[in-house]
Amino acid sequence: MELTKFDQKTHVYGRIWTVLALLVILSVPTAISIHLQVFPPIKVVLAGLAPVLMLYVPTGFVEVALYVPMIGPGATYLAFVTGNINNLKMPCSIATLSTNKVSIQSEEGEVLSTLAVGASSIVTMFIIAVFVLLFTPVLPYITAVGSPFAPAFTQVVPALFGALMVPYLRDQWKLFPIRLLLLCLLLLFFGRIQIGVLIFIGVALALLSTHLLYKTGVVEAA
Amino acid sequence: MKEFPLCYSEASKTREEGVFVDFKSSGFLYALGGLVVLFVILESVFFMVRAWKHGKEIGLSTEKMRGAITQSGLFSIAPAISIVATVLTLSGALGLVLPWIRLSVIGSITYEVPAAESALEALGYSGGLATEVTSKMGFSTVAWVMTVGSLTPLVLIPFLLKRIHLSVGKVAQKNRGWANLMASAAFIGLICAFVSRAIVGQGDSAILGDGAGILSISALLVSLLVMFLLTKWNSRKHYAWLDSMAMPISMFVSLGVIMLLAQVLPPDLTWLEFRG
Repeated sequence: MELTKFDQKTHVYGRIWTVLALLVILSVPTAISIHLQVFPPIKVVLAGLAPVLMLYVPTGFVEVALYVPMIGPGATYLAFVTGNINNLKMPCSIATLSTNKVSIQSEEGEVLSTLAVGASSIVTMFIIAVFVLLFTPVLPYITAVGSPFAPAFTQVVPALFGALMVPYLRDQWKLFPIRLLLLCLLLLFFGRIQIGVLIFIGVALALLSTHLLYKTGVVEAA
Repeated sequence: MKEFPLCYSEASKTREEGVFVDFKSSGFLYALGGLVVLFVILESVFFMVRAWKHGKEIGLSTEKMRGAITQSGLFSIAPAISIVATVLTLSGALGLVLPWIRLSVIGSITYEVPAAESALEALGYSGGLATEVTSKMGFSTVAWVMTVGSLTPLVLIPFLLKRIHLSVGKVAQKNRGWANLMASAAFIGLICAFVSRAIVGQGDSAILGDGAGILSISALLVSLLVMFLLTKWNSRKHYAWLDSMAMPISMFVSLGVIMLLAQVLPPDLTWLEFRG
């Protein structure tokens, strides 16, 4: 399979931006250490890193393999730099693709997904920066447990995915019940399972069972 | 705690001088944060301009592309504010600026808090995020741990992304209908993961409302119902603007209902989490 000229350039630019991003991101702790004139002992940094890396290195591999086919290369290069993929960039991409009824395998899907993730990144940057710089004194009152807004902040993710479910329920409702039931059962036994792991299990389960349903003729190709 | 006494002796010494707060919110750190934000915005604009131009070349309408941007922008407001809440969670220990920077690049709500906790534990801060980091050494260590721990995907992407894209493309080319079905299946798997967590997931006991309960199920159902009604209504009215606005509207109505429920229900019921 040959990549289009646009896709080839996406990978060239994507790699350049990723390397630049690595430099910018690493420059933050470096600049902090130089500015404060303290470089932490490697032993302490490694002690702090060990439990984090044990969980997030495998998750990193899974995320990269999982998200490229779902949101496309342009959006992936962007989303991995800006972060908050599960709870923000991925839902934005899914919403755009389902609203416009296009597949990520199409050129239209790739363009719309990149626009969605880019817009989400800029809005998120703007909101975080404005709140941090301007609303610092009132922020604790908005998000404090007793604030009338606090319950809403704890339920953003269910509210987001409730709306996202609808187009998929409408078009592919047969793909929902068994997967949802199995994941609920899994959570009943392993309630504290990390969301990254749960997503991996959910997607793997969905791919496997959908392929079987397709082979047996229960569901048809989209 | 005994292993790294430097952190503590420096902290107490600085505290006596009454200057320890400044280094966590100095102008230098704000400037650093500004540069990071500028970089992210530049990259986003670069990819968006490329995508927009290509969209025009392949015949995508301006209306569709604008719709994608508007929908995504509106859809991001509430989650972005909840990211601000995470910045606040971390700010007690680390000040506002470092969490702001971390959650602006690569960062995620699920990663930054445990990473900061792990770094503080390695330093011997027994109170976790409830304890303010008062030493420069401690602050610098946390910055390194939070940053380096998050880099795995960025290191992998230059090597793997093109290969994965090519492999997926090859499979998709053989049977496009099957590939589209599998793409839908993957999205449904992801959606089911979050939905099942909202129905029976056990939350972090330190975070109120993190586990499945009355609020999570109400948020899910109200959002689903409003989206269903808006979609149904628009299938008759055909308002182009509602195509891209239906999801953000559903989410905001759902969050409004949650705030209302929290006001009218007894607190015990409001914050009830099924799994304790």
